[in-house]
Amino acid sequence: MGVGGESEPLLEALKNSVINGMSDESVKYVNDLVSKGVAAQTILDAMAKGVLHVGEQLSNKQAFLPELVITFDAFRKGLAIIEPALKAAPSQGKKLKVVLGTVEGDIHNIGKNLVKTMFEASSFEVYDVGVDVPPETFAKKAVEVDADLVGCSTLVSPGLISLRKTVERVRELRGDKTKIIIGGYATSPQLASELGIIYCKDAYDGVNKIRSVFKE
Amino acid sequence: MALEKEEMNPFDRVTAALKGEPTDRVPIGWLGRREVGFGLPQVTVADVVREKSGYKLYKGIKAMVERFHPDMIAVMTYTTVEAVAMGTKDKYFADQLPAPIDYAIKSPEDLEKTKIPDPRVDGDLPCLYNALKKVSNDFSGQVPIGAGTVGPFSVGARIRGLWDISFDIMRRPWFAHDVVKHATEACINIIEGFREAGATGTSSGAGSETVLGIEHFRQFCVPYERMYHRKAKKLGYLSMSRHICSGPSADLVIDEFPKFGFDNLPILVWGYYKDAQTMQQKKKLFTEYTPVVAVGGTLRASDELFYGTPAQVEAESVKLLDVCSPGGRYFHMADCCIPPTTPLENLDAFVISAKKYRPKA
Repeated sequence: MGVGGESEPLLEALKNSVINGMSDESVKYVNDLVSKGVAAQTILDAMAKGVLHVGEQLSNKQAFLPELVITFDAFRKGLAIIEPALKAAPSQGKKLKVVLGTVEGDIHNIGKNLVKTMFEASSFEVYDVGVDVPPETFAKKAVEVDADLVGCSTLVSPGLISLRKTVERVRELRGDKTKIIIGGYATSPQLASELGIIYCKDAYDGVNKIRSVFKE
Repeated sequence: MALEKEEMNPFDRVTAALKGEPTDRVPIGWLGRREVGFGLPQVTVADVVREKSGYKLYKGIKAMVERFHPDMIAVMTYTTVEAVAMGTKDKYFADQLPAPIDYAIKSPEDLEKTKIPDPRVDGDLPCLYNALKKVSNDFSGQVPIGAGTVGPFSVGARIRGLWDISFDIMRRPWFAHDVVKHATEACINIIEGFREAGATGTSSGAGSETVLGIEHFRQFCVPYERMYHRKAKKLGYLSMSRHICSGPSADLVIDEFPKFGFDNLPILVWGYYKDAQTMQQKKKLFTEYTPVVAVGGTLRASDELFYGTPAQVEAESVKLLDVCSPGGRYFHMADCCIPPTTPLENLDAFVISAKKYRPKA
């Protein structure tokens, strides 16, 4: 069912509940919308607007981790309700497939998890391979799911050695079929430029860069 | 190139630099993490930090001091050592420092079960405590020796988990306060032991706090940090090295640092500054709060120092000195912990360039 006029205020309220991190309210609004027959994708889009709004605030230093954590909590609880319906729904065009992880030698997961949630909110199909991930695992997963993109995160500089190997291995197995994006404190635009890959300064920047690259 | 004979010893140089008085040259700050056993054949980081006698750590520090002759020594290993001594589980890697994988506090009930660590016996803290004793035995009276913690909020984040304490801040702030208060007691107990073992300077600060906005920083960091600084003074510490780690709010919270307790101890505010010009500006701001303050550290440890050539490191080093050394109150050091595999030649270039640097006329 499409979005009737009566659902618009509810969708707006849902978006605001996600922005404010009110997970109980988000769950209530999602249930209300589902009971009114609103499509799962429409509900997801409303929540995604909330997530991206706070992601943008984070990027602009208007919000910080605590604000983002409760927004993501509200989003995830809402998403859990509609996830079965999203999976069952006929696909509307090809979704971007992303393999995402923290490179071998690094177990920091907050940055990676922020990116994951932002990517999911952007309707990318995310395959989270976890933390401390060897290059081979990234590359094999990219082959297995026919990934459009591999995302590598690292906070610590020794992780860069593994990151370089990951880039090499993904290229060996996937050639130009899979693009690579990097982020995390130890990475830099200079490194991305040297390796011929994409750099994102934060999760919101990552979404925008990917949209831009795959639109071309 | 042979260096000129120096007129001041490290104690005089550090004291003068903190007061903004003239020095014979720019003081060299501590060389973070170099001391973690690097250069000792067949020794991994885990071998060093797990060894309770602290012997390997001491040997690493001794080798570092004899090679670089810094103006400060910091006895430290890894930044979750306090939390691990309180029950957080970590994972070791072959060529770098351990990081947490399972946190000690999962619920309010866990708080009561989480002990205040004794640095003489708990976790990997005895490595630091015993190394400190040995280092003091060798270098006390020659170079200021520091040992501290990552500070109340960062220890809190490492026993609770940064994600979970962020959630607590928003949804059950009383619990976040309880965690940080508990962490403060732990930090104080640890530096009490370090003082006994011979440290004359102490330290605080790590990355967890720079994910907070200003208001949360004021609520969850500043009051606890003040308690910590006050206690450090009572324990007889002579100075505090206060680290600013990079993080989304690092630029914003720097101006809040004077509220930590600049009125308590001579303080070196080192670490992340957006650039050298910003560091120079903040130095002026800090002096409005205390006459005994200095800054240091914008050379990126994970970038220029780690990847550059010695010539590149020297060039960057001189650029930094040109901007920040005028007016004194400046310590030459990297922005954060130096990766264990950083080429020694790059550190030579970093140190020697500062030792032979003379301000432009």
